[in-house]
Amino acid sequence: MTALLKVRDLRRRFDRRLAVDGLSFELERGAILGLLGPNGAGKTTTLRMIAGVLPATGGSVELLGERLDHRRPGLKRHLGYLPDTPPLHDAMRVADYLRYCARLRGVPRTRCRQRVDDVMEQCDLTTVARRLIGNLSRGFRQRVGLAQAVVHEPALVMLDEPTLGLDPLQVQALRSLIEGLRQDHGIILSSHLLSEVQRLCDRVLILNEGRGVYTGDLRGSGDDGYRLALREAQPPEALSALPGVARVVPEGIGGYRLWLTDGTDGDCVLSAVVERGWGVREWQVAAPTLEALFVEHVHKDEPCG
Amino acid sequence: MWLIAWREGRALLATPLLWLTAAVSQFLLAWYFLVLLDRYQLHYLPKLTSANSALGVTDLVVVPFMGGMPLLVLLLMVCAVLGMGLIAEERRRGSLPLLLSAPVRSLTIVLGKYAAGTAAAMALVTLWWLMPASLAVFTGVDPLRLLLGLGGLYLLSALFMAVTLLASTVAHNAATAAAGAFAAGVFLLMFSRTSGRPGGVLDALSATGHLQPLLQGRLSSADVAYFVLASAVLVALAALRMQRLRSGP
Repeated sequence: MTALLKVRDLRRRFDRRLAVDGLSFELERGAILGLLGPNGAGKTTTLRMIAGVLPATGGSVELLGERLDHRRPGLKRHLGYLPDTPPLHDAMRVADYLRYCARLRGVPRTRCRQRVDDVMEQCDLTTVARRLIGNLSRGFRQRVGLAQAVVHEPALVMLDEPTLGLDPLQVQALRSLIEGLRQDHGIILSSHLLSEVQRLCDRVLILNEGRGVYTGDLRGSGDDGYRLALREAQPPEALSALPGVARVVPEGIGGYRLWLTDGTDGDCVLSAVVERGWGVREWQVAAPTLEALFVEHVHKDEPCG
Repeated sequence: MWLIAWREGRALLATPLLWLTAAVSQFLLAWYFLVLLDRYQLHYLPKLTSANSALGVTDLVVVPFMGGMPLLVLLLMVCAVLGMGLIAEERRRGSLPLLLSAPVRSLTIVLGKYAAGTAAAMALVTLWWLMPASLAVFTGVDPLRLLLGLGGLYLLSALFMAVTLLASTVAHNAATAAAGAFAAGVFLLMFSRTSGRPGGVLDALSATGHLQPLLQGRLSSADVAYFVLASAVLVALAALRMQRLRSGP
């Protein structure tokens, strides 16, 4: 399957500092890629370069198999972008603004009204359609920003910190909205909120000092065993003696991390524990958190001493 | 291009800036026009009658009004005020990415903004022009010079707006763009007065030098070409600057 977006060796230099240094990644339609990184890691710069808002110092961006550059502005029709500050015109009414955005991105005049109505319904903006954007609350402004990014049904949607400054209810509503967009679009979501990325994204790209330090599954690739919590604490040797248990590491009072031998079914080990009457409080696959993944890769990438 | 011009035009109409500029400039020029009219009636008219001179209200009121420094400087200020935010204000507000990430060429963006700014400036010029034009109701005014004068002022406003547009693409805020445009515009107005001997290079670059023949009723392709070419070069430079903002050199 052809990738929706291919970024190759993307670079951006500000004076003597490399803000983005040889970044490469791909994105398929229907996937949400989380762009994570500490402040100044190059997330916003990367999105701005892909959107054509900031010139790249080097590298290439391919959208739908064609290279994005200023000679092909028409290709940007397939791209929707919500910057960290929504690009709104305060003196315009919501519906007029979205109509303007749709026409600007090449939606035919005949389809324009229908598309704007659809996107306003999708983003729950119908009630504020006739209101001036300058008079809207931050949550609604963010929704209008999101609506302008998808009103022309682009193949790729890029969202830069879409939930920044919103209250928890607004965050929840906006996340549901983004999840709803997944079916028809490839989405890049830049955020420094790990919980947001964890909840919304399929894959993550962690940036640190302009370089991609991890690309892949949110859970990492290592075997992190099982987490077991017992009502009655047992010596680790007792657990090691169970059939199929390769290694045991105590974690707090009554808590253990168990690694099993190859081919052992976790349910069998759980049955053995239950049979011994130790009182199982918790038994789950011990997946590393995104936070652990983030800390591991960002910390590992820092120069020593 | 027209879509961008339409939005820009609506934005100008929605802000008090245009209306305030229109009101203040109209008041100041009405006062200047009445001064010229008073001077003509009280000072020149008796002398012209006694000398049986061919000079009339066109030479002594209409042309001094349309070619006088008060109107020209005011036109420059109006263009600087209306055009200063065309790009710089969008950049400050953070709405420029909407245009830069859209599937439109940089030249289209710049032309759309330029068209809206120039149309607004021309609308104000038309209001100013109505004052000397209204004299035609009461006395004989040379209609050709009146119309060529209006055409000359349109061309001059197009030039000033192109200067402001370029300044707006370069500057990071609207005030700097306005100051830059005003300074450049003053040079364009003053070239002919500083060049020493007539016919020099500075005269050829002077906006007033090319406006005067039109006000005198002489339509020359060289004068029109000066305004058109100068405006086109400035708009092209603004488009190049815009291109660099989104795609680099």
